[in-house]
Amino acid sequence: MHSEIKKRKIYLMVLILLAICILLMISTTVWENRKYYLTSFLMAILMMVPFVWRFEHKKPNVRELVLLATMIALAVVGRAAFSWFPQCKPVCAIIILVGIALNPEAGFIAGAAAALISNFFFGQGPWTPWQMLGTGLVGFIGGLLFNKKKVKLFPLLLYGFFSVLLIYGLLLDTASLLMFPSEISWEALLAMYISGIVFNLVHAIATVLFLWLLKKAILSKLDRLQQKYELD
Amino acid sequence: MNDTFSKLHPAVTFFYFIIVLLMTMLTMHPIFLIIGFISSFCYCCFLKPWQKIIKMICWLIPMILFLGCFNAFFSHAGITMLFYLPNGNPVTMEAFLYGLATATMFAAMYMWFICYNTVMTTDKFLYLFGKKLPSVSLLLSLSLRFIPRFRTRICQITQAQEQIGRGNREGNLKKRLQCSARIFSIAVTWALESGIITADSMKSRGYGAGKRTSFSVYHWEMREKMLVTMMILLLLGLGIAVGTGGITVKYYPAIVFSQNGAMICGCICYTVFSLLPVIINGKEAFVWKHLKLDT
Repeated sequence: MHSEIKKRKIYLMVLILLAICILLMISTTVWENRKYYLTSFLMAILMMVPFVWRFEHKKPNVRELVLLATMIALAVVGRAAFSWFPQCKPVCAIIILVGIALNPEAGFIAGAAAALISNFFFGQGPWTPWQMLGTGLVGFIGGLLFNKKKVKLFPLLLYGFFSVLLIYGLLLDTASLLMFPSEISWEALLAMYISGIVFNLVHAIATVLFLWLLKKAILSKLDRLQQKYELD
Repeated sequence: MNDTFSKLHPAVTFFYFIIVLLMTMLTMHPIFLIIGFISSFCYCCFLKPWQKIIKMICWLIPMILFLGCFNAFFSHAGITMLFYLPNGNPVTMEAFLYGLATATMFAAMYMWFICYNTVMTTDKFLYLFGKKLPSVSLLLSLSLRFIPRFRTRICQITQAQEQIGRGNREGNLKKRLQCSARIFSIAVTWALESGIITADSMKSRGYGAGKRTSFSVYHWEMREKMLVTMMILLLLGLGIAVGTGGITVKYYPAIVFSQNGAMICGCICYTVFSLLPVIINGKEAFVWKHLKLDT
């Protein structure tokens, strides 16, 4: 049974890689390298497939599911509560903590779902898949780095700062360059990064603040809950 | 707002939006861009009150012009020179028009997304994906339900804390932050504990025992079948037009776009396809008026 799932997982990975290759081939030959946005949009969606597939096939038990839903809802409520201040979003901080306390995959799913759901309130747009991928990756990598370890405050804050600045910020800036017109060039990309740096810095600093404030509140409570009800 | 299109089966609506968005992203052909822009604008006008439409126009038109100029100042390809910038770089008409074209594309996409947000509500989205992805859709609907619940709870906690002098609206900044953190901490504990109760309750009612069914009001009827057939036929027409070079366009060095039979065929199919919601609504309005006169 287990090897069956593993086999199918490898099969899926190969399929996704093939799909990306075919997409790139179409993009360079049929679309003559012009449809940057469409190509990358489809690729962002393809990249999320393995995570969703894994989540579906793990058959999460109902307590884990509800726990995850709770954290997603808290992240969305947090974003709504601070929406009066631009870029002051606690979403990434909460998602990183979820990735650490549960597991990396849960971090990705929670991040993607939080981005999707908060956009039900703030409006879906061509940026939705990018935000999903960005927050998901921030949670996933956070989980990979700190999961099952004693989390020290300083490395956590450092990770929060740089993950938001480099992973989320650069990904979203690249996406908005692809969304907007003009030729794609290194100079244009650099100009986009520079113009976005203030927003990204505010977001990164907000994430650090929220991580610092919420670390104890969320992490120790989730640990306690897992101990109390023998989750995992 | 009496929009018949949004009362159709969600699969049809979703299919329509996917195709229309892909088509908008796919082509830079000026005539196709204009068709996409106008039809998305028409449907927006149908769905939204006019105050919002005016607000949207006030924002979109300057943005389109700005993006056109932006490209003209940064890209200097093209043969028709308009004038020279102070730093000696030429400003060309092609670059300006290319910028305008991409901005029109962006505006059309933006308006399609406004329509999408109004028509494809959360319940339709969950209905569509609930069967294929049961865990993910349950996760989404659980979180959607928790959001209003947590909001009311945070209000309750804040009120209770205020009564014992620990509100987050008075005192200096440090005290306010501390109190906010405490309120959030209480909310987290409450949410997590009640989450476990929800989970246990779900389990005792048989979650995971068998296949989950869900209530829905959508039916797959004759009109859906007819509409899907029509959409596929129109798509075929479009596909043929695309295949025979109906949408080829080049902006640099000079603007060249196809002006042949394939383009005209593609244009007609694209216009009908992207105006489908407006046509359906118009037909319904006509029938309604007609019946009223008869009686």
